[in-house]
Amino acid sequence: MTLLRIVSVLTIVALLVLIALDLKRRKSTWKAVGASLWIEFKAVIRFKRESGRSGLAAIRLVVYRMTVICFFILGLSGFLPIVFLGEHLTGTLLIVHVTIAPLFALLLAAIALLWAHRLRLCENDWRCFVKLWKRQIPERDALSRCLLRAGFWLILLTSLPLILAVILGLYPLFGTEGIELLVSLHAYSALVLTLLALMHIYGTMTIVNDSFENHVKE
Amino acid sequence: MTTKTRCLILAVLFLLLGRAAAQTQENVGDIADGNKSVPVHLLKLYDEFDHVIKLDDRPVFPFSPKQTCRKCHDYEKIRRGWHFNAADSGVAAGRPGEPWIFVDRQAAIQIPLSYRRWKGTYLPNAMGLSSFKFLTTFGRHVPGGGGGENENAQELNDYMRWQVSGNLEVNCQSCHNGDPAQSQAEFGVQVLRQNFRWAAAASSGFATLQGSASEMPDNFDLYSSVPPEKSNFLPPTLTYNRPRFDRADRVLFNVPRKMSPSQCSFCHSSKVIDRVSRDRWESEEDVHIAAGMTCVDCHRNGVDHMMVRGYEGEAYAAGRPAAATLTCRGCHIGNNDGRVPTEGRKGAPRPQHLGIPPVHFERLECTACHSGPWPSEITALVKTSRAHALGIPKADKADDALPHIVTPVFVQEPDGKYAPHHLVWPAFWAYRQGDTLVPIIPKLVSPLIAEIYKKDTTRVVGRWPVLSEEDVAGILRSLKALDSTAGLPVYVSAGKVMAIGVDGRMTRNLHDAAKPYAWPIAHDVRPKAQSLGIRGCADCHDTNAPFHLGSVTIASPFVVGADSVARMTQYQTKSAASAWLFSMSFLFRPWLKLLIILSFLVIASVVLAYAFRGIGTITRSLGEGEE
Repeated sequence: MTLLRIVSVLTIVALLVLIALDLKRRKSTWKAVGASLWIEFKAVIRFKRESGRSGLAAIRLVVYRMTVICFFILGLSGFLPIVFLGEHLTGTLLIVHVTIAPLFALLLAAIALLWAHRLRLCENDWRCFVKLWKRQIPERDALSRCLLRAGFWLILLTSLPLILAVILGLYPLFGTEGIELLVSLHAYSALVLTLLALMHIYGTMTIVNDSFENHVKE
Repeated sequence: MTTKTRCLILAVLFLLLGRAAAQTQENVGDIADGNKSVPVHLLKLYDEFDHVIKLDDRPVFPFSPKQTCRKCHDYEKIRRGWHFNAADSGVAAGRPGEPWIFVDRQAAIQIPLSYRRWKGTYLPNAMGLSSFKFLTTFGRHVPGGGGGENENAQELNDYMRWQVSGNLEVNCQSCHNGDPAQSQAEFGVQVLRQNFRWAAAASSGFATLQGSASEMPDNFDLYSSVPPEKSNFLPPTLTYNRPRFDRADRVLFNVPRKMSPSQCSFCHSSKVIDRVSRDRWESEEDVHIAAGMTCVDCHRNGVDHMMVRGYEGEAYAAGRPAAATLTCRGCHIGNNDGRVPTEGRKGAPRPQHLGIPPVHFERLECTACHSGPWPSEITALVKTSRAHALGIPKADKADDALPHIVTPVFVQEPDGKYAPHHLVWPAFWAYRQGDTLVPIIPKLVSPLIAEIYKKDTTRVVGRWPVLSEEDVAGILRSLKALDSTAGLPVYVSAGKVMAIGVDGRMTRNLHDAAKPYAWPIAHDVRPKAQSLGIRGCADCHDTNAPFHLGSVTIASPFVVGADSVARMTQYQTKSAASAWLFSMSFLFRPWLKLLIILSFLVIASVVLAYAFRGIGTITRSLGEGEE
């Protein structure tokens, strides 16, 4: 628990600081950063159908936004007691966590179905990776696109041990040590997923909005 | 140097050497040499004046456990152990345990008492009990020692009675006599008769005692006959069973290395009043005892007799690290402190706890799931040896005998862990002085209650008085009249303080003094298959599971009306709403599980499908590279 606590604090805080600094670099002032985040926040929680979108596109957008909301609720309810109290999740936060978690899993499955084809890694991405492997600088657009896609698949991949640990823990299959292992697996998977998701959300917010076709807005 | 001086020096040297030799001899039985056989205790008996008892002596004195046993054992050290040190000053109170519950039916009182000053208990003198009266009330279930021989705790008013009764020394045989004729019940009866100095001998199985010191006058002398005014009463008269003595006037004591659970059980039994399974054959015993263990396998002690109580945290609280190995966790799981493994002692099985989330081990004592009666919607009454004089002839054997103790109550302890408790609601009269309630002694109240019954001949006299609100008000007015300067008279009952308000009406208010006193229980331990959680989460997390949402009886035996109830959550930090909400989540849990499994399968399928496609792409790219 102590190790998880330290690793969680260090990694999440480090990532958030990096994101904040990058935003500051892009927006010049902290006020502009705040305004930008507020706009993004409003965009996420606004579920009103935007004109000119097909039904499926609208569903994709709603699912994405709901997943982001669930992600933040789960992240906060899951990590707050660990980070601040050094305890396992209990009480009201546990109720919130276990109520939202199935919805999150469902939304993640929906995202997998709705976005997998669009965000499939293609030959261009492979070439991009090969260039990186050969220490060559790929095209900025191609790299960003590649990283976003890779992030998407890594999130899906990480969600598998995350969910599997919970499923196995819900049945009387493992003893105390086994369940503690599953809880650790769940916690570390959640940590990795959190870091990936934060990066992905930030990438979607900035890089996509700035320079590429916005894969959120299609 | 004169001859006289030389003699004096020699005499002093002799005295010192003799004392040193005696001290060495005293402790010979306390030093283990490693031999595991049980020493034979064929002993001469010594009376309280340290004279060897001979059967032909007249008068024949009772043997003194103190003088007899101290020849080989450090009595002074032993008498400071947990069983004897409650009344000693400067002794750590220890974790709150079972109090002595004083009941006075005629005064409508049941109140927890303890010399240990545990929060929620009162000192015995709050009920007018001097150490002498304390023993003649509760001494039936003490192994002697403590206030029974601590002259600092003995009041001057009782001086003459102490001379008649003698001291109640530590009765080593209460625990260390394997003779089937050893009778703690007999010891208890003799203590109630004020036969303190005779009680150990009378209960030993090799002596018979007739007569009662309580019937002897204050000037009764052991060496003289009974005064004429008491000629129809028999003084305490001891007769030793001659065949038990050998030619050297020695008696064989059966002192086993470990005493049987039966001896501990005399003072540490409890009987849960089960409305369904009423007979003894329908009840179960502790799983450890059933497996052939004894109480002292876990509740061990050294010469100091500071028994290991066996709760988590005792090792730290008592500064005895070894105590940690004698808890449930110590034997069944081990302490993982990097030293020699201790788990598995006596073949203790390591629990698997399949499917139980680790948070349970942070928030629950082992006893929460494994000990005490299986909880039902409402707490049951429980009778304990010490509270209900179990084992003593003529004790009230009725199921509803006073005091009313309820169980199991799942109380959250100061460290945040849940543990099953017994709980008693205090009922007593008091004067309110500021925010403090000063209990009123029973002899002030009982005449007032008797007067009520005398005036109203239509009342059915039960086993104890049951007072209406008007009765209580009347008694409170009488108490006010008795002493108008002592404070506002109140009656504590059912968790409330009843008092007459300024408008003359009865008020009922909450007060710390009215709160119930609860103490943790650890026995009887149920087998694994009867532990909470064995049938799944619903054992505790159902919307009507007693663990959080059960009802605790607010026993109010002396006031008219049915007992009310409190929610179990009142003794926990969790609110009833929160517990209910959490339990509700378990109703949907099977569906949520299904949802999560389906989601997992979908995600896994998508990842696998595209992983295969990706592998195809990679192999194709690699193939193109070769061309």
